[in-house]
Amino acid sequence: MTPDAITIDRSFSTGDDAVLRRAYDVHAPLVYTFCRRTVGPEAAHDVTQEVFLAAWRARERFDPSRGTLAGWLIGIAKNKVLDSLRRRQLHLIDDADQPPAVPVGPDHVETTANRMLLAAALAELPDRARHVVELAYLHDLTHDQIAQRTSLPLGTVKSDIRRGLDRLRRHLDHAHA
Amino acid sequence: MPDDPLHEPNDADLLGMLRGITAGDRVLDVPPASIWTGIERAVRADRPTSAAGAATTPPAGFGRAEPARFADAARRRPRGRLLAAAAAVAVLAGIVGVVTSRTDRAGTVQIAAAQLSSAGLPGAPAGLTGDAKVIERGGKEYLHIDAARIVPKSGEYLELWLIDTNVKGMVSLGIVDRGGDYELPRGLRYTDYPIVDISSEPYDGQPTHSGDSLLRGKLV
Repeated sequence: MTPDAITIDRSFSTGDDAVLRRAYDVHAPLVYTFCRRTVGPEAAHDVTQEVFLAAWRARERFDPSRGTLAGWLIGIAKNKVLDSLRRRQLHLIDDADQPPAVPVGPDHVETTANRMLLAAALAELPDRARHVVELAYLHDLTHDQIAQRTSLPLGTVKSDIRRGLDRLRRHLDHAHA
Repeated sequence: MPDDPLHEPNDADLLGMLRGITAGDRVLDVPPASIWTGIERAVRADRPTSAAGAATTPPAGFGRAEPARFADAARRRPRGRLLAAAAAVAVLAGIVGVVTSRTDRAGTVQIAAAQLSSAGLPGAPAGLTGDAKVIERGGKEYLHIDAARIVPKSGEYLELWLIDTNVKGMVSLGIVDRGGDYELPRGLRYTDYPIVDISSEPYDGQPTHSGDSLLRGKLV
């Protein structure tokens, strides 16, 4: 995580409005895009607002030692998305301006959230750690094979993967972290 | 990684998730500015500060005001605070209903009522109507339903629901045959579940709402 993101995570639960603005600047693209890919472009606008409002009103409950703010926000977003999809299925919201979407179920919501959080977390890993982790999951290489491929000591490979996976897991929402 | 005894068992699910990542997962859209504007307004409204309408200096860190799509959306369909306000009015009306409730000679007290209709329900026959009332009799509360003209879809049955305005929960009151009195479970407050809904349900063994509502109305 960037130093700015770490500061925001630490100060979110006790911060003033300025922290909310910074948290929005950093995390809104992720939340908004997740909403677009689950409830669709039209509903994503309102659902994104609901997510940040709910997060701000419940900010005392965010504990940065248990996971990242991004993961916590996406956890809230999953619930808001599922509520919106349920309301749509029951025709409790006016769908006149929303084109009928491909049926989206809870599994799709869950896997989309995990993939997007992990993709963001991967990009934030240091280069060497990311390279080693990718060799492990993309190519299914063993520690020995990775050490040979990268010319890194075996011990370095093992600890890079261990720490890398631990950091990635921290980025998932609090249910997984 | 089979040659590594240090590999933790629950890494398997994480590695599986990583394998599912696609190139598009990293590409993010830019949120329209109106999203932030709506959040800012709602946060300001949350604060118990100076009188509404007084010009206040925006707190440091908030952006400049921009045209708010959030307010427009709120006018088109009740959401968020508007929905909460509507629910509050409904609760107030319900309370007033209790205070000035009508008691008939049999000792039945009407607490709340809803006009049911099929308007706006896809798949429901147009022009269907019905009545729902929350009544109290002999210390118990009932939902009284009048829906004489309603029939389920062919091969299906009718089910009666109370739904909350957040759609976090719904309660089934059972199978409907045109009407009757349905005892409300003790501890269930109709103000928490004010939306009356009658649906057509298939015999599929699934207890969840089919999504095919035929009549709906809100208790006030």
